[in-house]
Amino acid sequence: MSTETHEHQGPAYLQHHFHTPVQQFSAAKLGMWAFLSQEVLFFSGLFVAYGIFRSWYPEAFSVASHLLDWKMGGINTCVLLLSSFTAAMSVRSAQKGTQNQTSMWIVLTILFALGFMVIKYFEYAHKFHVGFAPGEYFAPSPEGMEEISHAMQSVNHLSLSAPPPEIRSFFGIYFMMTGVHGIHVLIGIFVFIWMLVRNVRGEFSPEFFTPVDLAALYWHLVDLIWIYLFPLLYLID
Amino acid sequence: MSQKAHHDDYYVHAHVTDTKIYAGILGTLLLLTLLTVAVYNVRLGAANLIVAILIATVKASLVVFYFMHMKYETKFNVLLFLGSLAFGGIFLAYTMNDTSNRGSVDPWSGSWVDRSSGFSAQGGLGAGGRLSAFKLSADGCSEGTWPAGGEPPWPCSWFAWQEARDGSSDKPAVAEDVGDAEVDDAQVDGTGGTETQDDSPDLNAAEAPSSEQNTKREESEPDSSNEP
Amino acid sequence: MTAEAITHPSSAPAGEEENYLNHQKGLVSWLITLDHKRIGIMYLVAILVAFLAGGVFALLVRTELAAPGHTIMEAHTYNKMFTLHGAIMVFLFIIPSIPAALGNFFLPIMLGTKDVAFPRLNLASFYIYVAGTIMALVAITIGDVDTGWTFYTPYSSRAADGAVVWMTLAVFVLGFSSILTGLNFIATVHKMRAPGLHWKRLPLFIWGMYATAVIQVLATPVLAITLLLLTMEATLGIGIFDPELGGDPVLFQHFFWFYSHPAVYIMILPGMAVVNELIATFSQRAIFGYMFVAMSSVSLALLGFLVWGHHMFTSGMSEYATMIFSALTFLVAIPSGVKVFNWTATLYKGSIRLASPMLYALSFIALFTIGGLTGLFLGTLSTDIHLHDTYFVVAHFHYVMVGGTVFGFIGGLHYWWPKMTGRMYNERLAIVSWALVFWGFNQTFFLQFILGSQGMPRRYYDYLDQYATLHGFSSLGSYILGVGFVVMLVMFLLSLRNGVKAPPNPWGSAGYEWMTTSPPHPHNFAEDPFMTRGPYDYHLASDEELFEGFPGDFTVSEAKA
Repeated sequence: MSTETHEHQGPAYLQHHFHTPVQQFSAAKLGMWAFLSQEVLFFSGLFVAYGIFRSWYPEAFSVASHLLDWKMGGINTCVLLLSSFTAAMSVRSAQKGTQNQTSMWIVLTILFALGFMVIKYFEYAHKFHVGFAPGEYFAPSPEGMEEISHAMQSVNHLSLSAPPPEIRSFFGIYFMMTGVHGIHVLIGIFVFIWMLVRNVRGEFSPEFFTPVDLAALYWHLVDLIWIYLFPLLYLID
Repeated sequence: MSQKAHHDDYYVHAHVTDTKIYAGILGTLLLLTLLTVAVYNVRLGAANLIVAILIATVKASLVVFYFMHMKYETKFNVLLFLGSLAFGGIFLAYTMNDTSNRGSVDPWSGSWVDRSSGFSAQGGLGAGGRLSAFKLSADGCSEGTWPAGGEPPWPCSWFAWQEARDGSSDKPAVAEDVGDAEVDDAQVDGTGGTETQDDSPDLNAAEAPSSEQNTKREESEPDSSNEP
Repeated sequence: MTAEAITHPSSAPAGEEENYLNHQKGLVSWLITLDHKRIGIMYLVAILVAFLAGGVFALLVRTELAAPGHTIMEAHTYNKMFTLHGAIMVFLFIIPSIPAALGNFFLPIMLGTKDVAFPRLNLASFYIYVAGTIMALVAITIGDVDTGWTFYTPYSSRAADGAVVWMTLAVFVLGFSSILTGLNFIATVHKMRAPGLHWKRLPLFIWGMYATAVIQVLATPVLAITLLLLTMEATLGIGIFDPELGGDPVLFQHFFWFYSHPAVYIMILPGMAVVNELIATFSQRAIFGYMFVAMSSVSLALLGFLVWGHHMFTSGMSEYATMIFSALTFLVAIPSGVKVFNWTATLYKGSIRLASPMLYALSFIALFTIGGLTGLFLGTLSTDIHLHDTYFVVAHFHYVMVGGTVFGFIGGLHYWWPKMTGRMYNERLAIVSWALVFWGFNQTFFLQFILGSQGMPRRYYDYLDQYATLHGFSSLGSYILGVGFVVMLVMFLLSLRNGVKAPPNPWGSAGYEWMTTSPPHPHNFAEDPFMTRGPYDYHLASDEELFEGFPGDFTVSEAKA
């Protein structure tokens, strides 16, 4: 093993600085988990901001949460969970070496991801339409005011006489959290398209499925973040 | 092809999970999503957050252990990922240890109540933690602090809108807040106005508007009884 | 599975003269290289340029401060100057300095592997660094960046022009470069070690790089999200950090220091890592208490996450929080103390040679100790009230950052220069430049301890006459420091031009990186090494290994077989 020369032989996917496919695979996995860890801490900043502002302005968060459409959020949660399932299945079929099935599962994953973005688009479009835009563009239209009034009645146990002004802050945080998450979904779509191309080219095999595996790991993390975002943003009492 | 000798630790051997397990996990995740929504509609009050986080954590664990195969990962990869969660937790806990306890030992150290408005100043600045750039009450808003001819900014736009649909409104009028008008005059310069030693907590309480959050703030104010 | 042969054009046997510098020619071969050594060299050039720029800004700041009142620039310009000095030195120089330049070059060699785990990510990290640097240049040219390197809100979020936003985004981008380097190093250390190189034989330089990498991966993303939020606050006014919009400027400080305090350890741990190697080599001894030193690096990295609040004692933070942060801060003294005592114990009865790298290492120990001990004053709540935001703080962190990291970096640069370039340098000039740097540094910054304890606030453009003498001498010291670096630059350039050809092991070190030729083979070792002893096992190293290096690196594996 120590006498291996640099012209060592190996499968085509084995990069020259690795000795064995196992080494290459485990390094890639470790690198991906390290990457996921940094993703967790990247999002942690948003969750900390969320936690602090929710503890400071609970009424604003209650009212503002009722301005979001939990049905759309719930459907999107299911769509993302389905895409996570198909992503896991794409890894499974890559591991088994069934190329056509792998393609099918990847395409499904992409479709669900696109579905998520489409629903997200309608949600965003409505928010902008009624003036719940982030930051200084926060200017509810009469329709938006009606929604706020309605939301205040939904939380009548708080007996508010006027809407808490920090609804504005909530939407700042909402757009940051879902926006950054949405960018991750978009990146995921591109990654899976790339995976599809590589799979069609026949690069993957039961011994080499690392890229699909890593893409799916990333995708599950994106799903994981949403699992928390959904109740925290849409389902505040 | 000398590597054939090392075949066992040379090529990657995948742990192929059964489709049934994946499907079962997916079903459980969807059910748990339904459960979250159901719990939300039941209105648990204060427990809402805890239950929501608990269900989300169960869902997340299922995703991590089954979809992400953490069961088969090396110990270090697991440690790294859990470590990132732990550091995220430290970040949240330590920061909230500050933001939830400001002024609880020495209420005067952090100027956490703006004397001019009675609004709590989360940031330790005199400007006020609430949206002090805008007037909070209907009367404050009518003074025209926004550019002439323009639409009133949030949250004044709320009062303007409410006034416009006045007749049809069955909600209580905002006239309750009249008492704050003079307070709002003095408010908002955004920079100065830091708390000074000479005003008593009672004064603040008297000046505070009837906003709910401020009431909550004031509840903790008697802490300042250690003031000479 | 068909196994097919892969031919690497560079690996054709071409005699011992083939090295990473000459096996491929042309600018393009450098720009698209995946070789960690070439990427390390490109990083080295880039950060030295940044160091030069930051140094020029520092001298301009010191010149302005040489006398009270207006000296050479307006107050507004002065604000920009100290901001640029800080931002360039921190984000463009110190953070990438040792890991990205020396670490990139030597980490794989010391692990006995051909490359880092992800060579393409490594190159990407370099280009991301370049992109961030370009964005920083744009920020500097289009407007006024005068927030200080800390970008405190609400000043930064209310900045009138877009320059601050550009600078913020530049640092955001630079952060990703740092994350990718860290991620690469973690995977490399775990998965790429040569046979026989188990964790207890890992060179302490690697341990330091590894601890640094963990911080880079876990802390830098928080900086990224902080700066993203700041950008949104500045452009959209989302109301998270601006108190007038319901936000909290102290929250920004929490976010910023959650990264930037661990970042202090991103800066100092690599310096310590280099010093381990220097001390061992130039006292020809194993590092005393190897495992303690290794673990102290890791524990410093982890403790670094728990103490960020000590930058904010006077910010209006809750008293509970200040007390906890202060108590935790003192814990940092334990691993730091372990290191200093163990280095000292290593020197005891060693065969010490005062070669130029060793002078930097010894300076490091002295200056870091001063910097560390003065940190205790700042970590104590009551004394910090007096010393906060004075020149005492400035002196403290310059003792740690310059006296620590920069001295470690420069020492490492001297030490590994023959290996990287294949040339020796003029030792006499090196000692002259060390003397100037050491003297100039102490004159500049020791006086600032006194200035600070007398109440001179940091970042001020003008000051009372009572501070004039000390400021004047401090500025004089900075010129001596500058001259020292110029002498060093000349010395290195002369070495490149007509330096004596370096032997494989000029310092007689038992470290693994000296087992290969100087400059190293494109694949680091002509044959994959098999480690049979630790990097500090001088009692196991043969005379041939220590004094002739390893032309025998061709025969190591045969000897083993």
